[in-house]
Amino acid sequence: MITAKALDENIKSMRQAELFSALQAMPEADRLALSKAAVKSFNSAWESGILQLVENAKTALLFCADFPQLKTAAKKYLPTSDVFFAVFSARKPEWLDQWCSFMLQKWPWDVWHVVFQLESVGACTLQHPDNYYQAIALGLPTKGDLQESIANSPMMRESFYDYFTRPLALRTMAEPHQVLQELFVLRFNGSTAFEISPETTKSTLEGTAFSALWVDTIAGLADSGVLNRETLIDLCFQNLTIAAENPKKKMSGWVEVGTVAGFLCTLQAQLVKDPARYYPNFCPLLGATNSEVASYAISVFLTAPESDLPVSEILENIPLVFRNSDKEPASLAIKLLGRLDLLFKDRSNDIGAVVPRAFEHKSKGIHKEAIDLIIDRDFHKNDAVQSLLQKYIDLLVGTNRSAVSKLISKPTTSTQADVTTVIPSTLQGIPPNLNDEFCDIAGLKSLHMAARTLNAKEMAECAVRPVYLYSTKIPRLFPDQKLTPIKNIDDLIYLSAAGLKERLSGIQIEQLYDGIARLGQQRPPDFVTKTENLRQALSQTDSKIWFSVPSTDSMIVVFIWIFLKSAPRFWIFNPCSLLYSRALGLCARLLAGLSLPMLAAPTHKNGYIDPSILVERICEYQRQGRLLTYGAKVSAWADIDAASKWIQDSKSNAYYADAPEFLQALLRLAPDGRAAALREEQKIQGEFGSALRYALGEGELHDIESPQLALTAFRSRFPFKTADMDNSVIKDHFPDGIHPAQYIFSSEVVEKQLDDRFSTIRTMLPAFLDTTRNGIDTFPRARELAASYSQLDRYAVNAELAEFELLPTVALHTCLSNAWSVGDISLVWLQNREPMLAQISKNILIHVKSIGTFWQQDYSSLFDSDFPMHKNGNWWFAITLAVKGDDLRRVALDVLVAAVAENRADPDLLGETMALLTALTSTKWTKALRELARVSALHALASWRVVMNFLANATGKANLAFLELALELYEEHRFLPTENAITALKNVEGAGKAAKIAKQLVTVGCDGPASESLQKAVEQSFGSRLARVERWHKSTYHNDRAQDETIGPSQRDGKN
Amino acid sequence: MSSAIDFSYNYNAASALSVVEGTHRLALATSGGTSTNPLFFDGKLTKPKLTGDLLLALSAISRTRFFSPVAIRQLRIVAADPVVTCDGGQLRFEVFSVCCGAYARFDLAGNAFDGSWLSKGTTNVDFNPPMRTVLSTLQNNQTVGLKVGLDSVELVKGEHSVIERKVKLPVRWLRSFVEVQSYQARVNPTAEMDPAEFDKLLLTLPNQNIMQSGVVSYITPIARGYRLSQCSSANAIAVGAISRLKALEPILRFAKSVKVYTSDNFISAFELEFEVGRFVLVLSPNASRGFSGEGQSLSDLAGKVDDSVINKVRANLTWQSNISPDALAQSLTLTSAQVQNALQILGTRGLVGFDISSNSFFHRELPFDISMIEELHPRLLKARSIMQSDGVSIAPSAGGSNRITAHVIGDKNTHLVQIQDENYRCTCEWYLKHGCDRGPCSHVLAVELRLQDSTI
Repeated sequence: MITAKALDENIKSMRQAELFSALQAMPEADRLALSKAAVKSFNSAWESGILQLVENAKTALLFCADFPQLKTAAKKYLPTSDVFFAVFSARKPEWLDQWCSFMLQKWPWDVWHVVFQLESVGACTLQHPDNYYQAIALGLPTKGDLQESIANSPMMRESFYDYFTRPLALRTMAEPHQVLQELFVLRFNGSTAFEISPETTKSTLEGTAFSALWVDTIAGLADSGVLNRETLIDLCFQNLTIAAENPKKKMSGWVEVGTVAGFLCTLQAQLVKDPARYYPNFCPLLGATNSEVASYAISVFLTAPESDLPVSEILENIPLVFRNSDKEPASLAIKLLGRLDLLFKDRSNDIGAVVPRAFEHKSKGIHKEAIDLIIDRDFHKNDAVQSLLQKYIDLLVGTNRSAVSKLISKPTTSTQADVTTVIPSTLQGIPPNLNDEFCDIAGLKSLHMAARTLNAKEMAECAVRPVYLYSTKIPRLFPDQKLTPIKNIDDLIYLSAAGLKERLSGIQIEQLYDGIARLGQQRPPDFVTKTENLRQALSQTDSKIWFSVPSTDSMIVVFIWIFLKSAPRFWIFNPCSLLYSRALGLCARLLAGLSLPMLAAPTHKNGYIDPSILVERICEYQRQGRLLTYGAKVSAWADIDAASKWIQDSKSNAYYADAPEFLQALLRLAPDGRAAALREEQKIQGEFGSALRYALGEGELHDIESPQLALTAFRSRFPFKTADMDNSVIKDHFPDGIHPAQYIFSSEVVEKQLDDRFSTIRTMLPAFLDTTRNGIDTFPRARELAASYSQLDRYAVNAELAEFELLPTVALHTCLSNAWSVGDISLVWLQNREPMLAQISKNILIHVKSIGTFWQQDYSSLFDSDFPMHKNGNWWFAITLAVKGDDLRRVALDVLVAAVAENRADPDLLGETMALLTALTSTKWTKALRELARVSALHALASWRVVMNFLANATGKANLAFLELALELYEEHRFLPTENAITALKNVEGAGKAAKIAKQLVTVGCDGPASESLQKAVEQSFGSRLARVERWHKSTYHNDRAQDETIGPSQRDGKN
Repeated sequence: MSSAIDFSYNYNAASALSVVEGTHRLALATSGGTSTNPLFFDGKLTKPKLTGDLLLALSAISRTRFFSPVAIRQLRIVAADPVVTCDGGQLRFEVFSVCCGAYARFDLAGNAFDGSWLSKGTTNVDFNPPMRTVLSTLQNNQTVGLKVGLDSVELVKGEHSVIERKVKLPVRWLRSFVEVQSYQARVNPTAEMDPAEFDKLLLTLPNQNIMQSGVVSYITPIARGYRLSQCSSANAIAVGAISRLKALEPILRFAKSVKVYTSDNFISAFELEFEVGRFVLVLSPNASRGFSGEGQSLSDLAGKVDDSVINKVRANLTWQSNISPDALAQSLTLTSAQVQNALQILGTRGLVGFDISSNSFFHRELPFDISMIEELHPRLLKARSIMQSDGVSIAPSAGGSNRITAHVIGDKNTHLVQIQDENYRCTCEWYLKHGCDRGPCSHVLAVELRLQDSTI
């Protein structure tokens, strides 16, 4: 009997085994009486640091302490698990269940084996938490023979079914490597403290051997009767049903790892001795989303004896397997269907009716296998299969589609109808009331002529020829498109609030500025209370926060409106864009106490300004003493102090406040209504009057002294002509300076960009333009630097701009990607969209491999029915249809669909463009063109023309994807190949698929009658052109359009 | 406020399939409702496999999380059991996806059964894993009995003991029930699609991922079939996070028709007609928006109601599957508008649901205590808090105008709120981001509450 006094001495002097025996022999009550002494002894042993002493003290503590004392004793009192087990199995305290639950909750990895052993000898009973099972799953295999451990443990024998259905335990058995990784991460993050034995770590990292051990063990336990086989099979099917719902995860890494589904399939294969009994359970697994489960279930039936096969149930369940993204189960399914057909000839029709479902799979290889089976077994001779083939043929591409179309007894391909007597009534004539010029621009006349000749070649060319949307004779102002200016302070307040939080559209920004410009001096009695929110928002903004504001331009304008004092100094200095300069001009006028509308505020939703309205506005400015002279040149952009002073004292430097506004207004001037405006324009004085007059259609360039005003007025009137100006005044290498811009879309640049995203393309300024003279590029380069947040860069930008002042050509072609200055580039120069298209194409090319959206712009203006997409627009199509992001590609396709329907695209040029950029993609393009062809006959024709021109111009190896698409389109629509394409196809050599298709197409030739699809396409094209002209008739000034002839790019002037 | 409530399902046995004298018997255990374990139906299924597949599709949706950002993935969100309503002629099963962005309802029609209807009511049914496994094995050539509710346990194989399953029911799940019926009342029939073409369209859907969760796509009819577009056009059907439609793939091949309903704010509903009933899937505007956060019922919840009208209407609810406001108005000597309004209020209390097929409410009492529904809405709580701290001041109206202008003290700023007729606007971030799409912000609600107080 050990006393409290002697305990400490015994701990120090006895060997652990002796101490153990002595304490074991004592009654529990006596042991409990020693608890305080045990705690005290332990503390002093711990201080001593002598291991033997500590272990003895732990033994004493375990024997003598009660549950609360052990709880507070914490982890450091844990001895080895052998001692733990020995003490507690001997002591069997009444609170042992509680202690086990507590310890499992706190340190499962340290105590699981002790608890396991205690349960195995019946010393305790407890509810099993998930982590306990997880620890058993990982740890038990390292504790000797696994099968024996389980067989010898009544706890495991009874609880095994519960254990087996716990997802965590199952996953640990099946995916130990992954589970271990997760546990290491948790430990690293401090979420859990545990130690997993090195043996466990080693075994779980050894590929799939660990899981295989569990499979063999469970199967062995079933064989030996320790576990009930039927129950295990039942549970396995339950787990398989759950596993079947989740697709197989793609694995990466150097270690071979297993999956839960794979584990269950392997186990079930060993458990089930007589699969026929379980066919009803296997059948629903045939269509499993998880490919492992599906493959397993199918393989059961592939090897099953004939007599038992449940054909109907298999056929009911198997179609879903073709929705599985993996190939293996789909391939096995086709094999199974083939087997069923051989074994059950009386069910051949039913079996054949399922095979076409294989076309739902994504893999062309699977389609081929299915087609081979259909042909081999003559399934296509069955009516039900015929209708399915017709239904599913759209899912096939290339030679697969071609093969199936031959099997269909009523082909979907259109016939080469004799059209000599058939001209649709819609093409009988052009209504006589329609404006001749409009009809010409819209291509109605040429299409009508071609349709009457019934010449397929001409019809095809004219049907897809784009409307010449560069003409200045196209009306732009429509009554239903008028914008309503903001009329009250309340609306202004809400729009300002929105502008401080969210990015406004280009038109909204214009409305905001215009509203502030006209109403900004108004101070109704409740102005302060109503604008309280804005005041607070602006006051809270400081130098750190302002980077997150959507637009600092808007913020400065709103600030000055609300407070009628200058904004903080550091807000003002930003790299300048035209919009930003206009914003500062507005600020200057506000501070000068003026209420003047924004000259450049659009009057219509498409961004155009009614010339008559502009004249009124300018008159208003001049009545208030503005826009009279070309004033003193105090440049605001290079000197921050000058800028601040300039804003404060706008009257002495009104030119810099108002000129940007005037220039932008000219660039938005609608071509229609100019004659009417000219009559009123006579009242406008000075140089601004001369510039406006010239833009409206009168006067001479040399009447305008300021080169900036002269150039802008010229471009407003003649977007594409060469100006008769002095080279020394405006440097003639500027794009859209004296000469109209020439674009260079080089395939080398594109390829280099694909190889190195940070290379040349980023610094190629401006967007695909040549601005060099004598080897020197003098276009402002520093603007690109403005993309950075560096203050120094912004100084450099403004220093450069000071030299060029407000040259509109800089505004037109800037590549400024300024995070703080929001501008809608689609609203800068409306009559010539090519700079905008070049810019956005460049931006997309830089990000062609990105799936992000932060860099994307608003492409909604590309849906405008009068927006030309047939020059630089081709580059936009080709590049955007090749981007990695699904959504943006889809937008590009939507734009193409709309553009084709409205005759704004040039499919021929698009094909040539794609041929230059083959480094980008082929698959994405053909996928898009395939979808385009499904929209309508006209779209199919457009798709065909793209393909033909691609084939005619592409160099290098024959492009199989395009050839297959060409064959599909030909078989469906019987369009005729172009001469150039045939010439190119004749040069395709070899004996492969590409060469065969090429030969087939060459055989068709380029002469022949117009097919049904072509006729439909022509009708459609005619209809949409007619609708366009009728819409133009509804414009406000359709009888008053630009008088001068515009010499610009012809419809087909070839490459840029 | 807790984001989940403790709830216990108490089934007197597990749902299971048993075989009695050669006949399969599918027993669905019930829990909750006006009685503890109600017994609704006892009979046979006419099309066991089809019924089983449809129930499995429903169950799959209840366990699917369509929006799974990292933060939420770490939460262990348990799927809730389907809510079942029996009106004496059909069984309606209702579930939400785990993320609450998809609502599915399966109306198992009378012709799917052959048997006796024993009582009416709303309850939960146990859809345990073993039950799902056996559902998948049902075949049409089997005779399968169906019992919804159990009066004895001898039919059930396995343990004959009470099954209690404690779950943390997400509060957003309960709020979603309240919100979704408001949304369904606002959708309109838009199109009828050929099931086969719809099925082909599903093949082209992109895989669901975080990038896709906020995208609205448009199902656009073309010469042959449909295509997916990013832009609206005539006859196009707007669907948010469209990949969620893949949940219909397993059952689409059995559908006889597909009807589509849409609303202006990108709610879409797809109704599939089958031999045995109707399956409806309603999708929120994007995957990250669960119905719970939508707030369409907030104004109703905040509003003062005429209890006498509500009580009258409630007293006349007898598990009708199709409540006609006109007929009810006549019998109660009320106006149709009063009845309609009362039904909307009752909907916010979980006491009626809305059926888009018949465009009418149906009686269904959620088997949860949702008397604290109002407390589940953060915006409404915040509005009341603003009211209580005197944070609303209403400006005098300009002569003749019915526009109400108010200044509301928010967390950081004072906001300008204007309400005119059914329209409202605010300068807060919520309104600037969502507009009127997701119900009023807390500032607008505070003004509405203030106005109610003023009229007392």
